[in-house]
Amino acid sequence: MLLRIDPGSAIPLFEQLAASIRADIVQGTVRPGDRLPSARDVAGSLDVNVHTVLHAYQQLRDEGLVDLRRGRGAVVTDKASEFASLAVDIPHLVAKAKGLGIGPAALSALIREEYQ
Amino acid sequence: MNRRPLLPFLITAAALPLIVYTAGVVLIVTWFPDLPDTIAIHWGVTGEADGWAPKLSAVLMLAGLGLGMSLLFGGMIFAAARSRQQPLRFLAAISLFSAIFLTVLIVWSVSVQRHGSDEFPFFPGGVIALVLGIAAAVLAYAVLPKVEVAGHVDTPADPIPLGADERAVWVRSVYAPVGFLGLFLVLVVVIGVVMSTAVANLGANAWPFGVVGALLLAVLIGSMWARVRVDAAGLHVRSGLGVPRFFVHIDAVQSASAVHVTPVGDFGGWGFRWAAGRFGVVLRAGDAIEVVRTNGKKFVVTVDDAGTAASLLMAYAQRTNPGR
Repeated sequence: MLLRIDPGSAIPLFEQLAASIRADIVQGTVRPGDRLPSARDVAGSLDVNVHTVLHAYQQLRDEGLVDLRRGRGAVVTDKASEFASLAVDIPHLVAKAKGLGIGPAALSALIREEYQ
Repeated sequence: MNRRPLLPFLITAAALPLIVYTAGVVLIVTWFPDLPDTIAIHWGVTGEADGWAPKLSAVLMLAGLGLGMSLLFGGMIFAAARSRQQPLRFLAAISLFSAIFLTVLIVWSVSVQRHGSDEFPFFPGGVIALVLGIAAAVLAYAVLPKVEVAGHVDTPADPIPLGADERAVWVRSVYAPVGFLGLFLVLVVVIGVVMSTAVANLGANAWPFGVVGALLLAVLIGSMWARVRVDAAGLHVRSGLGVPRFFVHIDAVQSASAVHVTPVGDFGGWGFRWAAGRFGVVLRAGDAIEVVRTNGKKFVVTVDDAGTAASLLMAYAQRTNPGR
């Protein structure tokens, strides 16, 4: 599992972390039942605050992707496999958008509209 | 898979030993008329016999031992041949040494019993067996072809493109194959039996068994899984129980690549091992990260997605030392 952050980006660090983990889940490198590394380890390795990592884990918990258990840490739920099934659709959608000259921000806006 | 002439090694490691063991068995059987029904098969330090067995069982034991050893070493030759490292000459030499040492020793010990004697001091029979075995092994080692790996160089992984400010960490767990769990449970039972026997017979004096047993269990559990992490500091490996840990500082990383590891062939087995200039945390066959340190030594850890890990290591290594 690869977690990447760019402190120079405008996107909050915890969101970047959550996005990074979500990407790993979609790719299948992280599977249901896997335990995410301890927040302390990630914080130490990335030189960020522990609470930033915890915030990211809590976000994923709110989305139903991980379970936060005392003593066990963050464990990926079964719902993650449903998330992974999106992996089939996203490359196709993005390729089409690129072909039409539609950038990520516009595409995201279109997707958000669809949720209304 | 490398193609190389296995025949000389198989001959030295399996065929010749089989011939030696068979010669020993045949020789002893021809002596049967001269031997008592029960012969001595074990001697104490002073050369006095302290263990006997029917002569047929003794011969069958030698035959079984011979067959087992030859098959074992033959199998190890095959396993080693499929990998890049070749302890082939060494393996073959060891097998031949064992065959000659054991057979000469056993045959000599039976031979003295043809003349009614029971005693078998280590000198001269044992010493001669040792010398013959070593001589044969050294000769075999010198004569066997020195097989060179056909220019096998592990290409360093392509570094992940990291922005100047970007940071990344790669984490993965690796587990020993499920089958080892069964082996582990068997060992736990064995240790339990040994310890309870020790306690039953020695009472409180059995505590050394407890200490050794606990240590063994700790090492076994610790070898069942490990957590591997790559970050700006370097490569971290933490085994199951927290210790032992291994760390390669990023400044010591000359290059990193993803390789394939065959435990028996490359390292002679599983666990924490040294072989041919590499130290490995070898929990299972398959993908592994290989780091070449600046001092030339290599560190290997078996883990999935080794390519990404190696790429991240290269990216960080180049960031801290642009010359690499």
